[in-house]
Amino acid sequence: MRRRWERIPPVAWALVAAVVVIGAVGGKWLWPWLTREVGVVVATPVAPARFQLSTVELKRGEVACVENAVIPSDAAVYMFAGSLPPDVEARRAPRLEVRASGDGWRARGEIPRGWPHGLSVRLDPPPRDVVGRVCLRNRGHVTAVLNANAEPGATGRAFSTHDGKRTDAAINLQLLRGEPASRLSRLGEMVERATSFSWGPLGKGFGLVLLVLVVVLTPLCAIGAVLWAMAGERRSDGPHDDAGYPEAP
Amino acid sequence: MRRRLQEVPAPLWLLIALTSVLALAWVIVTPPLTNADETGHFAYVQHLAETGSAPTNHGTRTLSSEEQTLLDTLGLQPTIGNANARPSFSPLDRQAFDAFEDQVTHDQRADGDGPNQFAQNGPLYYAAGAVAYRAAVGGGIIDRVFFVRLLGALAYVAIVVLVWLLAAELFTAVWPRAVAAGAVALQPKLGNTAGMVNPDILLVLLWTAFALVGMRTVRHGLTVRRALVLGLLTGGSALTHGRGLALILPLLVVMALSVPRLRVDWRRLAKPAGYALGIVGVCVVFGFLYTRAKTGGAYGGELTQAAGGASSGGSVKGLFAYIFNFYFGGYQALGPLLGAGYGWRQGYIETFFGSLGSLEVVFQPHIYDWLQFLAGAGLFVLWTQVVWFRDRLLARWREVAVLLALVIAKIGLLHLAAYRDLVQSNGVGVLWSGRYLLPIIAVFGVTVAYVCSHLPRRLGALAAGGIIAVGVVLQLASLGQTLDRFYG
Repeated sequence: MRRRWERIPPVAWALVAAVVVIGAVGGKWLWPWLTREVGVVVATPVAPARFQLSTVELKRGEVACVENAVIPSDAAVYMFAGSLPPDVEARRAPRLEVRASGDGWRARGEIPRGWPHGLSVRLDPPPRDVVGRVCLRNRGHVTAVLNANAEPGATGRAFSTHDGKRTDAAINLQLLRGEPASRLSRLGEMVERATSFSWGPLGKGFGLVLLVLVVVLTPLCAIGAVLWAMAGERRSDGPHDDAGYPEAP
Repeated sequence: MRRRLQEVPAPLWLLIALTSVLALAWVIVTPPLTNADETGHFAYVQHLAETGSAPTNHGTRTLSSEEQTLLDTLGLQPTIGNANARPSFSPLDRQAFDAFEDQVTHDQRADGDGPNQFAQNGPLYYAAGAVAYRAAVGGGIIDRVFFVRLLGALAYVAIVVLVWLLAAELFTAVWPRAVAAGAVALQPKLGNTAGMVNPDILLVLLWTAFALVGMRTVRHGLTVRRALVLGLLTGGSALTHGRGLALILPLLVVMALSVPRLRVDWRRLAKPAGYALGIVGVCVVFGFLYTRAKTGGAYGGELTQAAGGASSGGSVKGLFAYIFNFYFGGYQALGPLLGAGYGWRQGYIETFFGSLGSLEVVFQPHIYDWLQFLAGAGLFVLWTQVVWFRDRLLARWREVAVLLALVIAKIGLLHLAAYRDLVQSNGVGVLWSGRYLLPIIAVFGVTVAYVCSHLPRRLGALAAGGIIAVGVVLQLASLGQTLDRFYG
C-alpha cells in the first residue's frame, strides 16, 4: 500500500514549495521592508560623495551656504553631514545656526550644541517650491567639519559658498519630509514620480495598473506556468520518463 | 499564422504575459539615462538618428545639448551611480526643462558627435535604436529614451520564448521548458538590462537565438537555411559589440559537430558552411573597418576599459595566475594579485543577480549569501547528476558540447579581456560585470531545468517550485528596491 504522501501529485509539491518560499521570504524580509517607516527624501541638492569625501571646515563665526537649490514645499527636515576635528569631544560640537531663504520666503533654525540629533534641523517649509539658499553659521567655539562633494557632475544646479566665496566642494544637503512613512504607504507617490519620467501619455493611472499587474502576475504567471505544465504531464515514476531527451530524427 | 499561435502552449503564454509586464516595469522603473553607461549609449543612438552617422572618439561634445540639459535640469547627472541622490521631482525644474524642450532645435539634438567611448562598438544595436528613436514622432527626449528602451523590452520577451524553444530541443516533457524559461524570465539583471539603452540586450538575444539554432543544427543537421541563420546571428553579434566576437567559437563547434549528421558528404557541407562563414567574415571585416574608422582602434568598447597604463604586456602565466586567483583567492606565489577583491562571488553572484541601475542598487550581503548557497547547492547536485547519468549525457555529447562551447567562449573572452585591462591599468580596473554573462543566460535556464528534471520526481517538483518562487521574490524585490532607490 502506498504511503499517503506518495499519492500527492508533483504539482502539489511544487505549489507547496513555492508558497513556502514566497511566504517565508516575504514575511521575513519583504513585508518588514515595505512597512518599516523611513525618512522621505524630497530633494538632494547635494548628495554625499560616492568615492572621495571632501570637507569644508567651518570655523567660529564663519558661514557656509548651499546656493541655487530647489527647496520643495514639503521640505521640513534639512540634513547635513559632518564631524569634528579629531581632538574634540562630541559634546563640544558647536551650535550651528541654519537660515534658508528664497523667493520671499525665509526660515530659521538651530542645530544645538553637541549635535544631539546629528546635523539635521527642522525648518518651516516654503509655501511653494522655491529656488533658494540654505546657510549654516558656526555660533560655537569649535570648528565644524562639514562633509562635501567635489566629484564631477555631482551637484546639478546647486553649488556652495564659504564666507561668500564659491567652493570646489559642495556641502552635502538632503531635504526630507517632516514625518517618516512606510514604503507601502507611498507606493502610489513613487509610481507617480516614476511615470512622470517616462513616455508622456503614461500617467499615474497606468503606473498603478502596471504595479498591480507586476505584483499579481509575477507569482501567478511564473508559478502557474510551471504548475500548468506539470499538471499536463502523464503520470510517471521516474524523472527520465518525464524529462528525457527528444529523439533526433 | 493563427494556427501556429493556437499551438503555443498555455504555460508559454503565461510566461510571455509575465515577461511583457516585467519588461514594461523595468523600462519605467529607472529614470532616463541613469542606468549603466546609458548616457553614452543613448548619445550614440541620438547622433545616428539625427545625423545618419555615428559619433567618433574625437568630436567636440560627448552628449548633445539636449541630453546634457536633461541630465542637468532634472538632476539626473548626480543621480547616476549614487544611491543617495534623487532626481528632481520639483515642478520648477520640470517647467524649466519643458520650456527648453519646446524650443529645442535640430542642432541641439545633433551636436553630440563625441568623444564617445562607445564609438568602438559595432553599429547594429544603435541602428535599431535609431529606428525606435525616430518612431517617437513628435516626442521629446524623455519619450525617445522610452522608445529606445522598448527595444530591449521586446528582446526580453523574445529571449524567454527562445529559451522555451531551446528547452523543447532538450526535454520531451513540458514542465522543464517552463522551468528553464521561467528561471530566465525572473532573472532580475536580465530585466534591468532589458529596461535600459544598452547593446548588451541585443547580444543576449543573438546568443540565445544562436543557442537554439545551433542546437537544432547539431541535432537535425546543417542546412543552407540554418547556416544562413547561424552566420547572420554570429555576424550580428560581432556587429553589436566586441564581446560578441566570442560567438565565432561556438559557430565553429556547431559546424564541426554537424559533419557526422551529413554522413560525411563534404559537398553538402561545403555550401552551407561557406554561406555561414562568408556572412561572418563579411560582418567581422565590416565591423573592423567601421569601428577603426570611428576610433582608430577596432572592436574596443567595453573590451578595453583602461586607457593604457604604465605597465604593458602580460603573459600566459599571468593570465593563469589571474584566473586562479579569481576562483580560488589570493595565492601570491602565482604572481601579483591582479584584481584582488573581485572574484567569482562578485562576478557570478553579486553582479549577476544584483548591482542594478548603474551598479548602485544592491541587495543586503545576506541575500547574496543565500544566492551563493543556492548556486553552490545547485552545482553540487548538477555534478552528482552528471556523474550518475553520464551514459545518457555521453549519448548526447553534441548537445552538451554546444552549450559548453557557448559558456567557454563567453567566460574565456571575459577573463582574457579582464586580464588585459587589469594589466593595462596596473591592477586597478575590473572589467567584469555579471551583465556580461547574460548572453549565456539560456544555458543557465536549461541547466536549472536539467537539475530539477533529473531529481527524483517529487523532489524535482519541490525544487522547481522553490526555484521559481525564489525568482519571483528576487524579481519583485529588485523592482521594489529600484523604485525606492530613485523615487522613494
